[in-house]
Amino acid sequence: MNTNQSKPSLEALLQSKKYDLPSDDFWNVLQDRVKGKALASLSEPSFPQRFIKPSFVFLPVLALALFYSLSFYSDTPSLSSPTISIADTSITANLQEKGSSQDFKIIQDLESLDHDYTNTTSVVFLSLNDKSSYAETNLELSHENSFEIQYLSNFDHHQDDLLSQYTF
Amino acid sequence: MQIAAKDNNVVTEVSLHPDEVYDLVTLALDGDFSAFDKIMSLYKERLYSVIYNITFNHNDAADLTQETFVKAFRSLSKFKRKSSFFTWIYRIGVNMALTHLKKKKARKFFSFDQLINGESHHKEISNLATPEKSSVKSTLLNELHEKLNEALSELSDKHRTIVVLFEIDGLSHKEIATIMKCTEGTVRSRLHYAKLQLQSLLGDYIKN
Repeated sequence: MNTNQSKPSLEALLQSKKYDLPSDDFWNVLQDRVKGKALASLSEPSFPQRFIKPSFVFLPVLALALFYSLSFYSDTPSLSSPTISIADTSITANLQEKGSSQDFKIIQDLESLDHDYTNTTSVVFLSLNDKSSYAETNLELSHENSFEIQYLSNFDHHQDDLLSQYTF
Repeated sequence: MQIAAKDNNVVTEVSLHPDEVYDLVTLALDGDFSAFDKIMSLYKERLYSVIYNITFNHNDAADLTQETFVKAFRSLSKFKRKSSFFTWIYRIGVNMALTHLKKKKARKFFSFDQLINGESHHKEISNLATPEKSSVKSTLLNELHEKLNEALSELSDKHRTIVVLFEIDGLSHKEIATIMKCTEGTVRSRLHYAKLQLQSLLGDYIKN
């Protein structure tokens, strides 16, 4: 009991650390160093100022680069073609907008085959691949502005089946 | 046992009214460096003490205290007077200390020996920072402080910071919550848990 009473409490021990401070010389050195650093920091440009001067050079260059890159990409057709899933079929058709009257005609021809084709924009089929039931049917229809059939195997033999399969 | 306290003159009391501190800040913003010098004199010891008790390294504490004041000086215009100046500058100091510890841990330089001994290339300031143990404090108190440092280093950085700010620096729960950007409830809970852990770690050296 007596031993326990001679011990400090946790709070008293913690508060005693308040007085655990360095000598006066330390504070003088510390304050001098802070003064030196603080005064030196006055001559340094601030964080936003570091970007202002270089921005006079780089911003016009960046703007020009952006302008040219944007104009370049606006001239070239988009490489990423939208993927449209057509209802009641397992076919995914990659369609790319072209905007030629010939393409309209092709679509009209397709529609005349009683296809329920819902996309009304001017499009060209790039490829139609279906490997579900017609393993050998590889329908590839792609060409610049022409809708040319590149390769069509077994299409003539199984045209009816194929049309029933590809019900748009 | 009575804890032998160092001469009270050593500890600078922050006795200025908040408005007077705001005036000093305004003067410092206008380019009066002597005003900032006064601000530094007001807070340097408390700030150093807090940072030292978080990092346990005199050298790091000295560097971080300097950096805190330099950062505060550069950012004086950002001080919006929504809180007291000391809360604002403490937040800078505490954040710098915690960030420093995180970086140190990440680099795996963190070891207890290094914390206590404070190996450094700044020998000059390190020697000045190390308190004169033999003349001022009793050997028993030195031993107790070493044990306390060991126990504190077992706590997480956030728990230790809250213990230091509350028990050693005497800040309120609300002030600590502002500095640590958490709720008062979190402060109370962390403090309670940290003290329980310290009690168990220092069982033989303190009152039950």
